[in-house]
Amino acid sequence: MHPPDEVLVEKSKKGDLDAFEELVRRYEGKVYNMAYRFMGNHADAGDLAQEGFIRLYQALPGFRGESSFSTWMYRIVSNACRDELRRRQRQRNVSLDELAESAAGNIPVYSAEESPEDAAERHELQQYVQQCLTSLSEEHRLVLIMREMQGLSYEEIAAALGCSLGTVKSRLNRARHALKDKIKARRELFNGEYRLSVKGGTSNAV
Amino acid sequence: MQCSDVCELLSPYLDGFLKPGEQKQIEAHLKNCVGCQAQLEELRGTINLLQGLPEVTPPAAFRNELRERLQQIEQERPTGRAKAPKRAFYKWPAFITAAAVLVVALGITGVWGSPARWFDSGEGLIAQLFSGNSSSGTVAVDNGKADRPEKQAGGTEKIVFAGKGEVKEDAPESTDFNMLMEPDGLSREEELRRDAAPPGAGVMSVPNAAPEIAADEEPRQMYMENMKGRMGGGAVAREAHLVLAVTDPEQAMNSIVEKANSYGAEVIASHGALVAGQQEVDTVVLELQIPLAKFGPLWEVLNDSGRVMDSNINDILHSAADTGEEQGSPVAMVVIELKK
Repeated sequence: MHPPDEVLVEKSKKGDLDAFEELVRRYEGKVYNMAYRFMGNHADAGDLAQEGFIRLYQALPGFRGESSFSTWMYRIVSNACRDELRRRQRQRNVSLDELAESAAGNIPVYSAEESPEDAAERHELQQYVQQCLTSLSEEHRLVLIMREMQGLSYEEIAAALGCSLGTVKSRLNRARHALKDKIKARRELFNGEYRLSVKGGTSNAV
Repeated sequence: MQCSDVCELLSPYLDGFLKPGEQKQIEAHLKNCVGCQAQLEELRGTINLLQGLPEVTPPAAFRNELRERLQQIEQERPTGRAKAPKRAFYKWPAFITAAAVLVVALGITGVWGSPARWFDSGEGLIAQLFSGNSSSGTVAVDNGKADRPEKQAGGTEKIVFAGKGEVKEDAPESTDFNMLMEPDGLSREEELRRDAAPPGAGVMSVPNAAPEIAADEEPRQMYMENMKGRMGGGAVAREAHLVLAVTDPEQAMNSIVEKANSYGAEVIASHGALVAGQQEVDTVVLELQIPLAKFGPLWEVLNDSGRVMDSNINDILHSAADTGEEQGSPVAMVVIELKK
């Protein structure tokens, strides 16, 4: 009923689109979230995630099972992310900040325990964090998304990015500090008091 | 431990990714340093903010849309996936091998790398096989215009090395492929095949010497213009293959080489094929080594250089050890077929 990834991969290699679709079903959430956090909006995320899966499909014959399918998938999708950004930068010469500004946010989700005001504030904070994330370099974005949002281990990130554990450690350190500095700097621009220390925290600002 | 050192380790500290000794040192420092405590809290807060971002769901039509695009790709695939070999884009390995044979026959070895992934390990197949050979020079006929070989009678595939300089003088205008046999009757292909391939060479099987021209295909002549081989660069992290329909393959090649150079790409080899009975080149095969960082933009330029008939990008997963950033920058190998 639930064949392992490896079986689906072998079938997909032979052009079995149903098998590949099952792989897509399993991983579309991960790929789409990665693309969304990388690009910062749904329109671009959709394109990028599609591109990622198409590349996966086309690259399948070269996948020889030296790593898990998901690690390999992260590698291909990371490359798709990088290429997409370069393509855009070349085409439109859009600055990272503009890209960040264009980031559309999520639709706020209201929960029973939360007042609409709180939900709006939380939404605003999340948009703001996303903008800061999207303004980082591509490598910093990738490593943060993989670690903080996709929950990959250092080893998995190293395999996906094709670098050493030491590189992951130092890059993640730099990326976290870079994001922290962005958030702090922008917070002053907003003249608000976003609190860094509260998870999903509400804020008194704006 | 200085505050700056501690600051460097706060991130792995939060992940529990420190050696026990380091962990203790950090904890001891944090007890007495308000500044580093604040840094730690800010980092922790940043991570919490990221982790607090909600999950998003792909649009409802996502899978259907993808399926349609994949079906289209399958339909456009010329030979069908089932028949396609794992490395579908090496449709011309016999030719590569033949080129290698020719070069060997001319007594030249040494500095080259070789096409594509033979040389991932840094140990060239040719160089290894003939490492005892003292070589005086390189065969690279840098971008020299090939003298067109005369048409050969019969359907045998001919390999002509028609570069400029001494090579041309040594080689007959058309060199019969079959003449390049070793005295023991083994062709070089067979030797190449027989000898153990170097580590990393397993990817590409060395094909049989028989020209892989189908019986019903027009006999062709091929020539090699330039074969430089890989010169440095890091691990091959990506392979790509592109088939373009162009009006003038040679002109297209020159234009592509120029563009590729501007992106820091190197021409590894170029080959041409002539339709029998005609002097005109109907296919040119170009092999490029591109710094991986430049692949994206150049790939687009390449795709714009003609009508795309087939394209294929293949990322190669290396172990973390051999693609570390400490080594040479990774490269992409691109094979472009330009067809009339």
